[in-house]
Amino acid sequence: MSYVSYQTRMAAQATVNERVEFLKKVYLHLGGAILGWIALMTVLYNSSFGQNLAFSLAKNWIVLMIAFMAAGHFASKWAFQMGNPTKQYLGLGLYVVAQAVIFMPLLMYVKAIAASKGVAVTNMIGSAGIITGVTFGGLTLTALVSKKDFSFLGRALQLLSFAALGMIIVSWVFSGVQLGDFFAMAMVVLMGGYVLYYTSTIMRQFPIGSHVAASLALFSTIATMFYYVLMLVSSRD
Amino acid sequence: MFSPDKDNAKEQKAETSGERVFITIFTGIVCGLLALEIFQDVTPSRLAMVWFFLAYFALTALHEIAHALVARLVGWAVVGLKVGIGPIITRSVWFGVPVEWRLFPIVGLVEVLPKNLQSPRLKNACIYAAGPGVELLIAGLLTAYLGWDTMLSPTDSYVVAGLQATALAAVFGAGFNLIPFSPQPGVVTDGLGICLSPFLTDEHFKRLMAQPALDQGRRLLEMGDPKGAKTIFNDLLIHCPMLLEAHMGLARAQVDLGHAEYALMEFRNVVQALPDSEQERGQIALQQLRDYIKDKP
Repeated sequence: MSYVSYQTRMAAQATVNERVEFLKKVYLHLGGAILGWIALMTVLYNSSFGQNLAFSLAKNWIVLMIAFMAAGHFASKWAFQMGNPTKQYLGLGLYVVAQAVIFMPLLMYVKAIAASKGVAVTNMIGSAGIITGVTFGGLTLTALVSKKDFSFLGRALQLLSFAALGMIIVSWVFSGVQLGDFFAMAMVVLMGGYVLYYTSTIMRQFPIGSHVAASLALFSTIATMFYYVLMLVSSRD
Repeated sequence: MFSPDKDNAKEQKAETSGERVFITIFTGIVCGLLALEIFQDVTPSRLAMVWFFLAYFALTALHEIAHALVARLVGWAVVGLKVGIGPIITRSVWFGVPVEWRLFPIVGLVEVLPKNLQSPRLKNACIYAAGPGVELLIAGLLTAYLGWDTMLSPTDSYVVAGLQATALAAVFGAGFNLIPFSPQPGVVTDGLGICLSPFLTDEHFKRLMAQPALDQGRRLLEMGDPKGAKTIFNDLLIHCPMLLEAHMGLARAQVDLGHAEYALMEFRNVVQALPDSEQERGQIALQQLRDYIKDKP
């Protein structure tokens, strides 16, 4: 078997040891990305630069979202450049930075909410983190242990994401519309679907060696889920 | 967001009854929550979300029809028009063009082919521009009707909110399509199509023009008529002597007629004569021909 065909072999066609090794790398990279993301958010959150950034981003939300989407597009494109590890890691790094930046306005909002309720902001963030972690862990275990192929969810996820995106766009433009708890709950359920979908496609359709791209796919799902869980937690009395 | 290689991806359909139940419950929960979000407080602004989706669906169809209309106007053939994804709702023929409507009209596809090599790059760019162009035109007309200030202001009128949402859907559709990128291998947005048009070679358009004949030759091969296929591929090679797909079709016809060694030798010569940039494609085709010969009983 040639080197090239080995590199592009799907996880489903690999030996058990190769697949286990691949999954280990995926979750190690995912862990690294999450730690990097937390560290970067902590630095930004505690710096005056981060606070100024959050306020200016909150005023230019549409520009921020367009930049975020562009960053996401290039990050996933680079992360899947097989045979070019530098670009793969650059893609993952870019996405981690983009996620940390997009969280700044929300963290400042949560800080203000926590202050008004007399609750420590770290409690809110911690609760959201635990809920997200437990949900992600439970769904990942479900997909890994059941070995069920959830790729049939792909089309539904695509359509529901389109619906959610449409609602976000209308709510930006029509300033009177604030998306609330029901929308956040829908997004958490939707991200749960993505966790099942990505976990099972990573085990089957991702090529061995694409662990950086696989970890980016999972990281994007966790970060989005955490975003909406944090919104829900902060809106509770 | 990342999508796995589509060639290796399983067809994304719920196959078992368990999967269908799962997907129904999952979609029901998400849609139910989104509906609760919209209808918890019925105001013109909230209902604009519903308007946005309805307008977007109609605009998707209009976008594709505009591509097809401009293709016809510049003298290109329109081979097919598809609107939407998911289960097929209906198939029909409009002015000789097969049209397919699917359940979720959020994307579409028009297949067009040039008939000659008169200004093909300009015509190609015009066809790409027609889709977003018609959406921008609608947004412009609605803005002119409502006035710029009304278009951008919150409103208590359901009609105005509906028109605002329609204009927003048009701008969103056009804007997204004009971003020059490739969402997946082999697919380009209208924006990237326009940008790439000036750099396309005559060979590219010749290949497109040859497509119907190539399809016909392949069909004849599948139907077990190698003589008919050989005639078609030979005719094609008179007009496009460097078309690898036509050489490949001819070689397969020769193999089916029992001249495998001759076909392989001829095809190897064709591949050797290809320019460096085409060598990789040629070697893959050569290997495919070898496999084809090996698989022959």
